[in-house]
Amino acid sequence: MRLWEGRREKRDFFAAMGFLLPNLIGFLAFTAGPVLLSLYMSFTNWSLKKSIPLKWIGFRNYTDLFSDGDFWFYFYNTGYFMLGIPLAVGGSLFLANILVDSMRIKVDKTRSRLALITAVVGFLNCAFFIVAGWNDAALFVGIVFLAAFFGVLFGTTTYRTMFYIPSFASGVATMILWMQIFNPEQGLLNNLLYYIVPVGTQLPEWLISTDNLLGFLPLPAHFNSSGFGFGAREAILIMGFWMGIGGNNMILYIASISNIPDSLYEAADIDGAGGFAKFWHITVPSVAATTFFISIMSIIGGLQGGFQMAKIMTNGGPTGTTTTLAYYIFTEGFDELRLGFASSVSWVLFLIVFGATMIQWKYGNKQSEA
Amino acid sequence: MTHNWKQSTEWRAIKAFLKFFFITLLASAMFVPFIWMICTAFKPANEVEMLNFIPHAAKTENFSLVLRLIPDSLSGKFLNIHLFKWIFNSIFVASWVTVLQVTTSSLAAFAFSRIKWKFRNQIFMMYLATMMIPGMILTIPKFQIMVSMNLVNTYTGLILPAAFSAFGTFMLRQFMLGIPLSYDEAAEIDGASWLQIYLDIILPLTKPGLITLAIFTFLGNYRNLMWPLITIKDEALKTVPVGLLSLQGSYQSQTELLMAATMICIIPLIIMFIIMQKKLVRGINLGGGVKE
Amino acid sequence: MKTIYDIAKSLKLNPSTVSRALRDDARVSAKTRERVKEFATEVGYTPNVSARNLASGQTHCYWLLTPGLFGGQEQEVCNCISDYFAKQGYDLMILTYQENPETFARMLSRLKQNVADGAFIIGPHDEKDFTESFKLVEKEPLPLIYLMRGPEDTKITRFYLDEAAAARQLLNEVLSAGASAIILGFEGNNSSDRIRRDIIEFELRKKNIPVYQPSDFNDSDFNKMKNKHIAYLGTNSSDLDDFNEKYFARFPESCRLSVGIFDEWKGSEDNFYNIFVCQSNLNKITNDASATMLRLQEGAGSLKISRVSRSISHRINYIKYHSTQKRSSTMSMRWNIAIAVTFLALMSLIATTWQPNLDLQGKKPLVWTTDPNPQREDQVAIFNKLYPANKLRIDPGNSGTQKVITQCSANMGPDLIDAVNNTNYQLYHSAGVFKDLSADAKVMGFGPDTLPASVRSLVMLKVLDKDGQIKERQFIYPSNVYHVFLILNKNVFKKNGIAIPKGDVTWDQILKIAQKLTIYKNEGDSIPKSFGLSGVGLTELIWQKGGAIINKDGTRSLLGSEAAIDAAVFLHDLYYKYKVMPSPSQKAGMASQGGWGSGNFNYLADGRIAMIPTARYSLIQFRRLISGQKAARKKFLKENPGKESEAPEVAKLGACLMPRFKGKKRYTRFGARCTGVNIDAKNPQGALEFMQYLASREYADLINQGADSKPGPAKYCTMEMMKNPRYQGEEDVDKMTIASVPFGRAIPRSPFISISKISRIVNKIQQKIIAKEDLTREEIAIALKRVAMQTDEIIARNIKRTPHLYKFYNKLLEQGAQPIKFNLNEVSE
Repeated sequence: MRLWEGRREKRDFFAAMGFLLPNLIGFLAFTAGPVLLSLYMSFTNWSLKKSIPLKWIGFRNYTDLFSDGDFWFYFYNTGYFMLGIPLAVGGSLFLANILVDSMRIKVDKTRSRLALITAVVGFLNCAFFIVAGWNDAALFVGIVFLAAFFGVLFGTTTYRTMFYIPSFASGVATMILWMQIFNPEQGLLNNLLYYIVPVGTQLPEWLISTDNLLGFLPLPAHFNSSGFGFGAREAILIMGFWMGIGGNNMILYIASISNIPDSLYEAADIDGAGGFAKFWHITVPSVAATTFFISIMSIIGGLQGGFQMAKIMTNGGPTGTTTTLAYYIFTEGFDELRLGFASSVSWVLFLIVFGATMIQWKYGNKQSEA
Repeated sequence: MTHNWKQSTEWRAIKAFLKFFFITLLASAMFVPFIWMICTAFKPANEVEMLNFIPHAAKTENFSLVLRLIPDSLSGKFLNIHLFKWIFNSIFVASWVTVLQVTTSSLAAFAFSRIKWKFRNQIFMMYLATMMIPGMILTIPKFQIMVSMNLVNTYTGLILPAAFSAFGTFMLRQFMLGIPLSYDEAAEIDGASWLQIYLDIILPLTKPGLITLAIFTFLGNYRNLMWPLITIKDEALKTVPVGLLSLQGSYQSQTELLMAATMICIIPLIIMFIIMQKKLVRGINLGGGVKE
Repeated sequence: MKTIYDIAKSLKLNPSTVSRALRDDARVSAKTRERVKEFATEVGYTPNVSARNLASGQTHCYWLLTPGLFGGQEQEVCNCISDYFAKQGYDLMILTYQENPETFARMLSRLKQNVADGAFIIGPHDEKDFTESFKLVEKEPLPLIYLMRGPEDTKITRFYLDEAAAARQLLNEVLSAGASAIILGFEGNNSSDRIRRDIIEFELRKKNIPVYQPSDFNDSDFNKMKNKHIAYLGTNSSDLDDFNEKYFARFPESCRLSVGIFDEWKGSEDNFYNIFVCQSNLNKITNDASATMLRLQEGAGSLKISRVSRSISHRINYIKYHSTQKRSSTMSMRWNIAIAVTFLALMSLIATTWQPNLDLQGKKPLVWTTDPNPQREDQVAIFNKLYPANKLRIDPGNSGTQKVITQCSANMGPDLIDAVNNTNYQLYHSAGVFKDLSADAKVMGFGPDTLPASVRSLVMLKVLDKDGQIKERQFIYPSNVYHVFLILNKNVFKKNGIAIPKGDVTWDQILKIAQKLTIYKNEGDSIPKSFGLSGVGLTELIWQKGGAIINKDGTRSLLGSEAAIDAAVFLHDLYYKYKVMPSPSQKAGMASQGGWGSGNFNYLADGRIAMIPTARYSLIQFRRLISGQKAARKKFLKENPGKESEAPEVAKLGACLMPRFKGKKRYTRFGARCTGVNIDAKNPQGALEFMQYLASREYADLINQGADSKPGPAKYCTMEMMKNPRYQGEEDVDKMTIASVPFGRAIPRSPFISISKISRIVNKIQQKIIAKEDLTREEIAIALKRVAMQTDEIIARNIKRTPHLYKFYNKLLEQGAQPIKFNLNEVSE
């Protein structure tokens, strides 16, 4: 095995090693080590129970999990939650495209005048609502005008902040808020839907229902699917989408779109391309590398996450429909102390993600052979 | 045709206004849950889980309680919360992690994207693969490694494991792939070494990627709960998420205090974000047009 | 040459028909058109242009006047326009007037003779002699368009390049590449050059950058250029060549000369440091101009002046670009790095010095992992006072076991570990985390004899010791114990005139009361305003019906028994037949109706639920709520004195025992939060002293006063000790909590299946029962039996797989335990 062919390649190899080394050392120590250990453990009956000595049991963990009905149920749940990924990624791209420009009004005078007008109008509106006693409406109106005010003054900084903050500042209280929104009888969402859908249609029950969009599929009974509709899974999907599109993915897209040279857009203008055409033919292909990254990270995140939301909002229910494989790993590993088994579930997850990545790599990674 | 309607200033103004209007509405809608949190911070205990936003009986005592300015009315004692120390710890750890992560990852990403060497793709797949294992199963081996290195309950133990993740390498590699190779070749003809290419050409062009990675790493590390919880034993080392646990007791969850504390702890994050994202504007690049 | 008439005669058609046919006029049939066209091609007929022109009044021809064809721009314009017109079916004639005014005038006069339908004029490079000619142009009747450059003051439609913007951008590029002085070319006498020169001079004066004309140079000036970076800005390559020839050689070696020109670069690159070329994108201009021309020709155009939009009229090409700018950006990057490093260093300094010493003062540290409850402070403080050799502190644990397990796996666990419920206890024990306390407990006074009988079973665990015998050992001691009973809101009872249940309460009683207290605001409402009951679970109902979840040996699940089915049906009925408990969606609906928040405690305090099964620890929350209610009432009465009946109520708490079914025994849930000692504790002595503390009077006082349920030791669970003078109205609760103790029961621990799994299974089936309204008894039975089988399977598998459990099981069988359901041989490995 020759690592290099000639002097040039030798120099390249050592240079690459030099660049790689700082990261590689830490990586091997803190990341690769535990990973390999867990791989080994997945073939054993590793358990912290002192009464069970460590023994190599080969593939038994794997055969167990494949024959466990619950595993397939949670697997289905996990896959279900991943259906929302393309939509979320697209949404982030869309938002990022709008927020890339600085949106700052260049003429100082116009800007300050416009800001003043916005402030005055907003103030009057709020005052009206407060006098009328609708405090909450006043708050909403106030937010909109405040956003407009800052938007006029500071351009896109305001909007980026407003989109990004909720994605990392959300906590338990926001989950409570969302639970209220999804309330079947008093919640905001169903109240809005009431006015939109034709009279007589039954409004979805969201978080307490086991209906789901794929409910028409014939599934085994213990999958607890009760038919077509909008149930707990959809509620979590919607919530994840709403909270996620302004998040990390949007920032990533902003960064890569800002890297596209202007001249490409100018050339398109000459050819008479309109806004959408420019987006589709210039922006989207140019951020292909980033899209590749985002989709892989989303799949990885999707398979490992949804954990907190499900735990707090539905407790994995109703009847287990929002329990994902990650939660299963957690309970098997830390509640049952079947760490060997939990490792094997993790590695099965790994294989799934790896497979998905390979497919993406073939299609999305043309630039890697640069 | 001299007078193209689509190009006239009136149409452009209308388009700009529509865009502004739409994005303002959308941003406000997205922002509502956060406003909810702010309002909750001002509510008394009974109103926390009600639907109204504006508290019927707003009080700022929550903030005073959380900042240890006044004692708790029921028990007569100050709360055992030391926000500023926790914020300092969190910022300290997160800063170190960010710096380490950004530098080592950009070096590694450079090796993976610009230099051709044998097994490059295979080793990169290995990097990627490690991210695909669910993290919680790795905490036990990681902790055991930390213990064997005697790094438990130290700042180092908090910083090092987080600083070497494949995430940064992967992300920066993708950014670097977007830079045409002709820049490298041009520089090589001028006799630049790999290091010079890295410092002079690639690094400035990857600036958006570096900034983004810095934002993500800092924010992610600031909010990380599990690892500090396991590693820290001293009060003095507590980070913000660990500290805020004390407001989420098993008998009573004092959500309004939690919100007040969270508000205070988020302020450094917001400031940092605003500063850094200013650099992510279109057209800061040099890629205007090298002779193709 | 044949004419139309000739063709007409040959084909025996009307001449006008032939003419129309050749023009593809639709009035002629397709067949005839084909015939005529074929014939015309055969005989080589070509239409007579002049005749056609006369007939139509159009020439279908346009002229383009250009000063010369040597410039790249001129060439491009000519190509573009002729392309455009060719596509439209017109001809373009290109004429050069070679910068000669006479030729120009002659061409103009020809135009008057109807040789073209319109003309483009590219202005001359040097407008010196053209003033007369321009005046002539004004008088032309034809549609005319000036292209690229020309006179400024004219009424004729103009399409000029945005020279100003182009010049500015070129200047900016050059300056940002580092040039510190500019030499201006632009000697030409035409509008383009004039604009460029003016703009650049203006900008430079604004920025205070020295600007030179080529003619300014003499020797001394050249020497000043040493080590400087200057730039020459000119019109085009030839402009530059002139300058080059005259002056270049005289520049000193160390001087860097950059160049910025327009149009295109021709020539060698060697001498120059940077080369920028600003090129115009002529496509848009030419397209727009051509389209306008056609419009003008149709008479529909306007004579407005048009300027090309700035953003697309030009772009900068870098022929050669040195890294001066990169160096400056590296500089700013170095600054950033320096700041970051300083910041980090500073913080590290602060971090290392700002470590408060643990102030051990010779004491031994003791670490207790528990939830960070505000009441802990007192508990810790008093322990430290009583056992001054130790310093106890709390390491907060999260709600799960993850932290402790991880730490213990590496031998870094705390000294004292809380097991919040049975599940955790079993878990920690099987992980081998807990130390066997049986011996020490007897000596130090926290043994099982201090506990009430029913609680003892919680604390003692059956283990297989090394001799193969089954013994009962103690690993934990309870920090507090709770028994569940019904707490009720007395105000609701009083308002509806119902007596408070007392003594030997039965389900019939409670059911009747609950139905009476489930009040609807209006007839036909779907959600009642208030409910009678909430929070009863499947587990206690199964016990009360005489059944069990799992048999006492832990070898079989009893969820499929008749008693369990009865209990499940009863639970279902509570929701849907008697309708006394709020279903999940109804509960969610209550949250938004205002009041004191969601959660059973809050509902009870509000009066929206009359009775809930809970334990004494609920007082912690109730105390807070009630004091809030008291404050609200006081505030209201202060503002509205005298309106006693309208003032917000303050809840009054009452209690009664958990009901039982007629003919069956009473059972209620109980549990405890216990603490155990880490087998690898660093401070074992201190840990044992802590356990002693848990059984002490001082600790019991804290628990009693703080209403953290009850303390473990039976002798400290008395009414006097529980009374807290700060809070009134808690006597009923205290009394019931003591009275419920004999009826307490917990799910027995099975060594063969973890309690968490059992709880999860029970929860799931409970949710399933509650979820659907129409569930028959058969369906419930089927579901329960299936779940029971699942449990049995798990038990069998666990026994078969684990040799240690296998031994344990066999030992149990020897002692007469009930065997498991499945035959071990049939179960898969």
